[in-house]
Amino acid sequence: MATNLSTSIAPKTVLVVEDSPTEAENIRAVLMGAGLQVVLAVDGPDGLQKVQGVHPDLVVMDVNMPGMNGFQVVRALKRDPQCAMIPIVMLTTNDAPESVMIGLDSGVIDYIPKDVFAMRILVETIRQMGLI
Amino acid sequence: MTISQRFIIRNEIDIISTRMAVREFARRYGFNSRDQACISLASSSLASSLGLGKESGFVGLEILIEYFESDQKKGMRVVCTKQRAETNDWAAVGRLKNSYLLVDDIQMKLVSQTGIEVTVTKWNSSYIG
Repeated sequence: MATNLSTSIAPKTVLVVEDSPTEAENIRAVLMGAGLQVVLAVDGPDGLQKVQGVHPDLVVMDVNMPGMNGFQVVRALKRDPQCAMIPIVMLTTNDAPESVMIGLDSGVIDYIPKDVFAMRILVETIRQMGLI
Repeated sequence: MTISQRFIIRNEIDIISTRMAVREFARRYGFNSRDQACISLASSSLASSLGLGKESGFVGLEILIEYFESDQKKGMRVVCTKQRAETNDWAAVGRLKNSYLLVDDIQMKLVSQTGIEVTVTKWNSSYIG
Protein backbone atom coordinates (compact mmCIF):
# COMPACT_ATOMS: atom_id res chain seq x y z
CA MET A 1 0.00 0.00 0.00
CA ALA A 2 2.78 2.37 0.95
CA THR A 3 4.57 1.52 -2.26
CA ASN A 4 1.48 2.29 -4.31
CA LEU A 5 1.05 5.60 -2.56
CA SER A 6 4.65 6.63 -3.15
CA THR A 7 4.34 5.64 -6.79
CA SER A 8 1.18 7.67 -7.30
CA ILE A 9 2.64 10.86 -5.84
CA ALA A 10 6.09 10.54 -7.41
CA PRO A 11 6.82 13.66 -9.46
CA LYS A 12 6.67 13.29 -13.21
CA THR A 13 9.88 13.74 -15.14
CA VAL A 14 10.40 16.30 -17.88
CA LEU A 15 13.39 16.20 -20.20
CA VAL A 16 14.30 19.71 -21.36
CA VAL A 17 16.39 19.84 -24.55
CA GLU A 18 17.77 23.37 -24.69
CA ASP A 19 21.22 24.56 -25.77
CA SER A 20 21.16 27.87 -23.91
CA PRO A 21 22.26 27.29 -20.30
CA THR A 22 20.42 30.40 -19.13
CA GLU A 23 17.16 29.36 -20.80
CA ALA A 24 17.56 25.79 -19.59
CA GLU A 25 17.97 26.91 -15.98
CA ASN A 26 15.00 29.24 -16.30
CA ILE A 27 12.79 26.43 -17.59
CA ARG A 28 14.10 24.05 -14.93
CA ALA A 29 13.29 26.52 -12.15
CA VAL A 30 9.75 27.02 -13.40
CA LEU A 31 9.04 23.31 -13.85
CA MET A 32 10.58 22.35 -10.51
CA GLY A 33 8.46 25.06 -8.92
CA ALA A 34 5.45 23.28 -10.42
CA GLY A 35 6.48 20.07 -8.71
CA LEU A 36 8.15 18.30 -11.61
CA GLN A 37 11.46 16.50 -11.79
CA VAL A 38 13.64 17.98 -14.52
CA VAL A 39 16.52 16.55 -16.53
CA LEU A 40 18.46 18.82 -18.88
CA ALA A 41 19.99 17.91 -22.22
CA VAL A 42 22.35 20.41 -23.82
CA ASP A 43 21.61 19.56 -27.47
CA GLY A 44 19.80 17.11 -29.75
CA PRO A 45 22.18 14.14 -29.50
CA ASP A 46 22.33 14.58 -25.72
CA GLY A 47 18.53 14.62 -25.68
CA LEU A 48 18.29 11.42 -27.71
CA GLN A 49 20.71 9.71 -25.36
CA LYS A 50 19.03 10.92 -22.17
CA VAL A 51 15.53 10.03 -23.27
CA GLN A 52 16.57 6.37 -23.36
CA GLY A 53 17.85 6.42 -19.80
CA VAL A 54 15.31 8.77 -18.24
CA HIS A 55 12.07 7.62 -19.92
CA PRO A 56 10.52 11.06 -19.36
CA ASP A 57 6.81 11.74 -19.12
CA LEU A 58 7.28 14.79 -21.35
CA VAL A 59 9.98 16.34 -23.52
CA VAL A 60 10.28 20.12 -23.82
CA MET A 61 12.20 20.82 -27.01
CA ASP A 62 13.99 23.88 -28.33
CA VAL A 63 14.14 24.26 -32.13
CA ASN A 64 17.26 26.21 -33.02
CA MET A 65 20.21 24.20 -31.75
CA PRO A 66 23.63 23.58 -33.26
CA GLY A 67 24.23 20.29 -35.02
CA MET A 68 20.80 18.78 -34.83
CA ASN A 69 17.74 21.02 -34.68
CA GLY A 70 14.62 20.31 -32.64
CA PHE A 71 12.63 19.07 -35.64
CA GLN A 72 15.29 16.47 -36.42
CA VAL A 73 15.32 15.33 -32.80
CA VAL A 74 11.52 15.02 -32.77
CA ARG A 75 11.55 12.98 -35.98
CA ALA A 76 14.22 10.67 -34.52
CA LEU A 77 12.13 10.19 -31.37
CA LYS A 78 8.96 9.50 -33.35
CA ARG A 79 10.77 6.87 -35.44
CA ASP A 80 11.85 5.00 -32.31
CA PRO A 81 9.00 2.72 -31.14
CA GLN A 82 10.23 3.03 -27.54
CA CYS A 83 9.97 6.82 -27.60
CA ALA A 84 7.27 7.50 -30.16
CA MET A 85 4.50 7.90 -27.58
CA ILE A 86 6.34 10.35 -25.34
CA PRO A 87 4.56 13.71 -25.63
CA ILE A 88 6.72 16.57 -26.87
CA VAL A 89 6.13 20.31 -26.52
CA MET A 90 8.20 22.75 -28.54
CA LEU A 91 9.25 25.88 -26.68
CA THR A 92 11.16 28.23 -28.91
CA THR A 93 11.87 31.77 -30.05
CA ASN A 94 11.37 30.49 -33.58
CA ASP A 95 7.75 31.52 -34.22
CA ALA A 96 7.99 31.61 -38.00
CA PRO A 97 4.69 30.29 -39.42
CA GLU A 98 6.44 27.58 -41.39
CA SER A 99 8.27 26.40 -38.28
CA VAL A 100 5.07 26.21 -36.27
CA MET A 101 3.52 23.99 -38.94
CA ILE A 102 6.64 21.81 -39.29
CA GLY A 103 6.60 21.32 -35.54
CA LEU A 104 2.93 20.41 -35.36
CA ASP A 105 3.18 18.17 -38.41
CA SER A 106 6.09 16.29 -36.84
CA GLY A 107 3.79 15.18 -34.05
CA VAL A 108 4.45 17.55 -31.16
CA ILE A 109 1.41 18.16 -28.99
CA ASP A 110 1.95 21.91 -28.65
CA TYR A 111 4.15 24.66 -30.04
CA ILE A 112 4.78 27.50 -27.60
CA PRO A 113 6.53 30.64 -28.86
CA LYS A 114 8.81 32.13 -26.21
CA ASP A 115 6.81 35.28 -25.57
CA VAL A 116 5.90 36.86 -22.25
CA PHE A 117 3.36 34.10 -21.55
CA ALA A 118 5.50 31.14 -22.54
CA MET A 119 6.36 29.77 -19.12
CA ARG A 120 2.81 30.08 -17.81
CA ILE A 121 1.43 28.43 -20.93
CA LEU A 122 3.96 25.63 -20.59
CA VAL A 123 2.93 24.97 -16.98
CA GLU A 124 -0.78 25.14 -17.83
CA THR A 125 -0.25 22.78 -20.77
CA ILE A 126 1.47 20.31 -18.46
CA ARG A 127 -1.35 20.71 -15.95
CA GLN A 128 -3.91 20.05 -18.71
CA MET A 129 -2.01 16.86 -19.55
CA GLY A 130 -2.47 15.74 -15.97
CA LEU A 131 1.23 15.60 -15.13
CA ILE A 132 0.83 18.03 -12.21
CA MET B 1 -25.96 22.32 -33.77
CA THR B 2 -23.96 25.11 -32.15
CA ILE B 3 -22.40 25.14 -28.69
CA SER B 4 -20.68 28.23 -27.34
CA GLN B 5 -18.73 29.57 -24.38
CA ARG B 6 -17.81 33.21 -23.69
CA PHE B 7 -14.73 34.64 -21.93
CA ILE B 8 -14.01 38.19 -20.81
CA ILE B 9 -10.34 39.10 -21.23
CA ARG B 10 -9.20 41.48 -18.49
CA ASN B 11 -5.49 40.75 -18.33
CA GLU B 12 -2.65 38.51 -19.50
CA ILE B 13 -3.74 35.68 -17.22
CA ASP B 14 -7.14 35.60 -18.92
CA ILE B 15 -5.42 35.15 -22.29
CA ILE B 16 -3.64 32.08 -20.97
CA SER B 17 -6.81 30.71 -19.37
CA THR B 18 -8.71 31.22 -22.60
CA ARG B 19 -5.98 29.54 -24.62
CA MET B 20 -6.27 26.48 -22.39
CA ALA B 21 -10.07 26.61 -22.54
CA VAL B 22 -10.01 26.74 -26.34
CA ARG B 23 -7.78 23.69 -26.42
CA GLU B 24 -10.00 21.79 -23.99
CA PHE B 25 -13.09 22.81 -25.98
CA ALA B 26 -11.48 21.51 -29.19
CA ARG B 27 -10.48 18.25 -27.50
CA ARG B 28 -13.97 17.75 -26.10
CA TYR B 29 -15.55 18.07 -29.54
CA GLY B 30 -13.25 15.62 -31.26
CA PHE B 31 -10.51 17.75 -32.82
CA ASN B 32 -7.18 15.97 -33.03
CA SER B 33 -4.08 17.12 -31.16
CA ARG B 34 -2.74 19.08 -34.13
CA ASP B 35 -6.02 20.93 -34.64
CA GLN B 36 -6.23 21.66 -30.90
CA ALA B 37 -2.75 23.20 -30.95
CA CYS B 38 -3.53 25.25 -34.08
CA ILE B 39 -6.75 26.83 -32.82
CA SER B 40 -5.46 27.47 -29.29
CA LEU B 41 -2.27 29.14 -30.56
CA ALA B 42 -4.26 31.23 -33.04
CA SER B 43 -6.65 32.33 -30.28
CA SER B 44 -3.96 33.50 -27.90
CA SER B 45 -2.09 35.28 -30.70
CA LEU B 46 -5.29 37.05 -31.63
CA ALA B 47 -6.16 38.13 -28.09
CA SER B 48 -2.59 39.26 -27.47
CA SER B 49 -2.50 41.33 -30.62
CA LEU B 50 -5.69 43.16 -29.65
CA GLY B 51 -4.91 43.66 -25.98
CA LEU B 52 -1.21 43.78 -25.24
CA GLY B 53 0.59 47.11 -25.28
CA LYS B 54 -2.50 49.01 -26.33
CA GLU B 55 -3.67 52.34 -24.97
CA SER B 56 -7.08 50.90 -24.20
CA GLY B 57 -5.52 47.70 -22.88
CA PHE B 58 -7.97 44.88 -22.41
CA VAL B 59 -11.04 47.07 -21.97
CA GLY B 60 -14.03 45.56 -23.74
CA LEU B 61 -12.11 42.54 -25.02
CA GLU B 62 -13.90 39.23 -25.10
CA ILE B 63 -13.72 35.88 -26.80
CA LEU B 64 -16.56 33.63 -27.86
CA ILE B 65 -15.80 30.01 -28.69
CA GLU B 66 -18.31 28.15 -30.85
CA TYR B 67 -18.48 24.57 -31.98
CA PHE B 68 -20.76 23.94 -34.91
CA GLU B 69 -21.57 21.07 -37.20
CA SER B 70 -23.58 20.37 -40.28
CA ASP B 71 -23.98 17.27 -42.42
CA GLN B 72 -20.75 17.98 -44.23
CA LYS B 73 -18.43 19.63 -41.72
CA LYS B 74 -17.57 20.05 -38.08
CA GLY B 75 -15.75 23.16 -37.03
CA MET B 76 -14.84 25.65 -34.36
CA ARG B 77 -15.02 29.43 -34.44
CA VAL B 78 -13.17 31.75 -32.11
CA VAL B 79 -14.65 35.24 -32.21
CA CYS B 80 -12.56 37.96 -30.58
CA THR B 81 -14.34 41.27 -30.07
CA LYS B 82 -12.92 44.57 -28.87
CA GLN B 83 -15.41 47.34 -28.23
CA ARG B 84 -12.97 50.23 -28.57
CA ALA B 85 -10.67 49.43 -31.41
CA GLU B 86 -7.55 51.48 -32.03
CA THR B 87 -6.24 52.44 -35.42
CA ASN B 88 -3.31 50.03 -35.14
CA ASP B 89 -5.54 47.06 -34.23
CA TRP B 90 -6.23 46.35 -37.90
CA ALA B 91 -2.55 46.24 -38.67
CA ALA B 92 -1.88 44.09 -35.61
CA VAL B 93 -4.46 41.54 -36.67
CA GLY B 94 -3.14 41.64 -40.22
CA ARG B 95 0.29 40.72 -38.93
CA LEU B 96 -0.99 37.47 -37.45
CA LYS B 97 0.83 35.47 -40.07
CA ASN B 98 0.89 32.39 -37.88
CA SER B 99 -2.86 32.34 -37.68
CA TYR B 100 -3.29 32.34 -41.44
CA LEU B 101 -1.47 29.03 -41.57
CA LEU B 102 -2.95 27.64 -38.38
CA VAL B 103 -6.61 28.11 -39.19
CA ASP B 104 -8.83 27.77 -42.25
CA ASP B 105 -10.36 31.23 -42.30
CA ILE B 106 -9.93 34.65 -40.71
CA GLN B 107 -12.53 37.40 -41.06
CA MET B 108 -12.26 40.92 -39.68
CA LYS B 109 -15.06 43.48 -39.49
CA LEU B 110 -16.10 46.66 -37.78
CA VAL B 111 -18.83 46.34 -35.17
CA SER B 112 -20.95 49.07 -33.59
CA GLN B 113 -18.88 51.84 -35.22
CA THR B 114 -15.96 51.75 -32.79
CA GLY B 115 -15.38 48.06 -32.32
CA ILE B 116 -13.54 45.34 -34.15
CA GLU B 117 -14.49 41.69 -34.45
CA VAL B 118 -12.10 39.00 -35.66
CA THR B 119 -13.34 35.49 -36.35
CA VAL B 120 -11.03 32.54 -36.90
CA THR B 121 -12.47 29.24 -38.10
CA LYS B 122 -10.91 25.80 -37.91
CA TRP B 123 -12.47 22.75 -39.50
CA ASN B 124 -12.07 19.37 -37.87
CA SER B 125 -9.46 17.86 -40.19
CA SER B 126 -10.21 14.32 -38.99
CA TYR B 127 -13.90 14.48 -39.86
CA ILE B 128 -15.04 13.14 -43.18
CA GLY B 129 -18.71 13.96 -43.62
